[in-house]
Amino acid sequence: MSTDNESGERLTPGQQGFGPSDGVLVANDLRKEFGGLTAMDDLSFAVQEQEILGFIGPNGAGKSTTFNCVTGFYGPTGGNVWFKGEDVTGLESHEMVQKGMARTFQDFAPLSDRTVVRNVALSLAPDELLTLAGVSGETERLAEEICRRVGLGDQLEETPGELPHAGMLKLEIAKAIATNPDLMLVDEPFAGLSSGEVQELTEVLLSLRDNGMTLIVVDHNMRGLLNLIDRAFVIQFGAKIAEGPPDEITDDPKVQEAYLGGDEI
Amino acid sequence: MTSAANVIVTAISISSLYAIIAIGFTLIFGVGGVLNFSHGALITIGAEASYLLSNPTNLGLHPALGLVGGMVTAAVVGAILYLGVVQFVEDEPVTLLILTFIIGFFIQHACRVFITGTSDFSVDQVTPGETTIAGVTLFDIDIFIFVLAAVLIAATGVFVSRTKTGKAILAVSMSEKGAAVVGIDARKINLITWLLASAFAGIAGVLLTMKQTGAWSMGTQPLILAFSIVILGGLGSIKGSVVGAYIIGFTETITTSYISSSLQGFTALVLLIVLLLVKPEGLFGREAA
Amino acid sequence: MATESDESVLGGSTSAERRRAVLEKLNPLEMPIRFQLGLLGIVGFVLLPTQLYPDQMGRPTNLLFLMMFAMSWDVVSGYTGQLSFGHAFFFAVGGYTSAILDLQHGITPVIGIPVGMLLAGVGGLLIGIPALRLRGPYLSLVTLIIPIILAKLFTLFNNSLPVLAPEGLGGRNGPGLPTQLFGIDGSGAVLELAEGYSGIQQTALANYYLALGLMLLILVVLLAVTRSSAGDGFPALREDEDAVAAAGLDASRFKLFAFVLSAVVGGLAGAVWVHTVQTPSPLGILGQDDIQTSIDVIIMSILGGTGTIVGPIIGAVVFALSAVVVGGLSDVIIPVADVAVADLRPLPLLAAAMATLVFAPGGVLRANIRLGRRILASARGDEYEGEPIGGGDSALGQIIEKYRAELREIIDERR
Repeated sequence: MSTDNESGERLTPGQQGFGPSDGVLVANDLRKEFGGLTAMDDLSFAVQEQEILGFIGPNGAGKSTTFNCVTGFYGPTGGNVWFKGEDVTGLESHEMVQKGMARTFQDFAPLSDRTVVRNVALSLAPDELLTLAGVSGETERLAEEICRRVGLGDQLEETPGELPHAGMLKLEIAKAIATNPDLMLVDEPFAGLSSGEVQELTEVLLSLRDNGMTLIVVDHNMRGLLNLIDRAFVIQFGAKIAEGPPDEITDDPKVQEAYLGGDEI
Repeated sequence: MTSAANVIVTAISISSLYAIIAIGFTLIFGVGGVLNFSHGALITIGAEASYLLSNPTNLGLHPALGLVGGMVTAAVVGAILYLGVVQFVEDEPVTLLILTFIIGFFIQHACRVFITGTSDFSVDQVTPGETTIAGVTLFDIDIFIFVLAAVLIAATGVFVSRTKTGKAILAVSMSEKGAAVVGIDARKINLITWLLASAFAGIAGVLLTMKQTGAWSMGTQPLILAFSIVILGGLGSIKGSVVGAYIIGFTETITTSYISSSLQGFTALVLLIVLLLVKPEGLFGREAA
Repeated sequence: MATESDESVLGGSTSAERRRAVLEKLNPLEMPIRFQLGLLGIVGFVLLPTQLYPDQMGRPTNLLFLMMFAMSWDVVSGYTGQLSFGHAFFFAVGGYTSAILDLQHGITPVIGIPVGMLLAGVGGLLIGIPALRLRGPYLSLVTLIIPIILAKLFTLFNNSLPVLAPEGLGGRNGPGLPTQLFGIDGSGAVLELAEGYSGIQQTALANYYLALGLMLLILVVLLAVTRSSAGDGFPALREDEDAVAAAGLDASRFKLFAFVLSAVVGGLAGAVWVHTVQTPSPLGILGQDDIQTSIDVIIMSILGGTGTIVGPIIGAVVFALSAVVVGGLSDVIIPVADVAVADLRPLPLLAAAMATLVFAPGGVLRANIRLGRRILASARGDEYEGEPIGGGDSALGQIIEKYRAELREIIDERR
């Protein structure tokens, strides 16, 4: 169950749209065009500190595009992104990470040439060319700690190829946590999880939030999300169609229509 | 003898040869996705075969037979390459790249060790002599090269657009899965492509030897030029290869005739570097970086 | 803020503790067997000259340079997966710079060599910045062509290159023999040793040990870089650049760093090369057709095992040994072809490289490490499961995977 939290309140943009101080992560009039195709259509939203925002939409709605634009893997065609008050529009992905925004990959991107713990250790590596950091093993100790936190304590020395699906997901999250983020974007985490695993993941994410992190969780399937998020933001065809607390969203006719014939709500 | 007319004639002749080589190279890439670094060695093979067949100190057959023999030998070697190596490693483009690279060297060195050694060799021209047209004296071999290349290019165009096999080749180059769905056997098509491309390389090798001379490492330079050409023209585009060949052929000839003959290959290479850094998709290709 | 400082995240590890940890790792008695064997190998190299005459020293000395070249290739191509097909370019820049500074500007090699090294590094920067943006196969193509262009430039500016090389770059013959670092009395070398035969002996030894020292220095530096936490990122670049970015690391900067580092190392080796055992010329430095040396370096690394730094050393030894072994078979004639086995070079080596690519892409080093571990495990009575070794079980395999994806993209788009 999500905690009762004032960030369930809807935030509406002022007359000029959202601005940098409207939340820890603010996007205003984000636009992304690929040739003639508009993937993101002047999207605006604001995420409050320590909120868990669910970013929901059917497949092809533009969730991944938004995700990638915000985290620096694509550059937006138009609009702005502010993070902690600073304009970060168009910054490269590694710079975003350094500023405190981490992400997971939907299709999992572990490095198969190294063990679980060393995968996490890479995220702890400083972005410096010449450094003796890690030589005495403190990085490894910290990486182990993070792995335990997400539930990978027994699989430290395994390689990603040996992990089950849920384990790979935990690894993704551990790698993201290791970059010491203030905001984490989690990409379609609930796909392929059993209900026990969904519960476990939900607890991990909630505990992260309780320790100060802000989360945006993207998914096309609302089932796993509803118990986790404080607020939902629903998009379709690159534009917002609804926003509000989970129980309001499920009753929203526009949302129901968007999902008709597609994924269950 | 470097009047403008002569330079132009030489340029046309060389460009025609490059076009033949480039078409073969680009076909192999377009159809099989293979960057065939051993293409240069196939040129050498054609030349060496014609040397063995028609050079007076060997079998002394008529140069035309040498030409055919060179073409056939190169085609056979190409087929062996495909059947014996490439088809097994097709899914590993980088292993294949390095492999074809090394195989190419292997073949050329083998020619050096077992056939012609380090000296140049020559074969009699299939059309020796000169002709004078409109006051300009042309070597018959250049005319022959131009005509033959034009015929081959036209034939390729017709083959690819009119015949069943040719259309199948186009289909596979567009989409292997799509072609399979309509019952086209990609392996067979690949083999045919390699046969064709290698035959072309062989012909080019013989003609090059007739026009200039041959040597065991003669394939290396044209291979690199072929690269420039296909990248300029756009990987996989036959039209691009022809256009690119003429652009490069003319640039080459003008540079070596008017600036310095030791600069052979230079402008083509510089052009290639600039292209790769600025517009890697070439004239008729698409995104590459 | 995320990775702003180690202290906040890692808490409490002092530099004294780190120093102690580094020293622990360097204790010979504590090292794994493969390191101990390596140390033995080094001892072997140190003692080698005692078994040879001065005029036999040329080959081993050259071998040491080949090792340096191969290592320089591996740090960028083996580690980060950016396949450089024309690495001899950097050797040439280093060597020619130093030679010309000496021959035409009167600058002693002691200064010329570092300058050559730096210039090679600059070359790496100038090429790397635009080229590393390209996808794999196109980068390889660019690197393949660059040494050829360089050789053409040598010819173009054969007789004179204003300001930089007033007497020209020497075309196919090279600019001449530069001042040697060591020589007999009266030879004009930087360091003149004894007279006559004694001087010849000492020169040969001096060249050899300088090369050995340089090779070891390069080995240590490259090992330190690749085993550091920065170096941890290199093999990751080979596999998935997005993952590297998501870890907060600037992939382009690391790629460029590896490229420039390899250029600097190659340039340094090339510069010392021309003042000891190699005359600068396109054939001498770049090899046959201006590409042979670059290819030899790749073959060595493949044979020994890419992505290990140490593998190329072993590959270089295999390379040199095969040349000696095959070359020594000048009495063995192959029947029908009437050719001595010795004259078959480089066919056997090329065949070995092809076989390695197909059957053992990890190279000799990894195959032997695996074999050694298997032996140890069975000696202990354990099952050997084949864990990943340091850099993963096939660096070449990964480069292949990454290129495969990139090539697929190129192919698919073109279609």
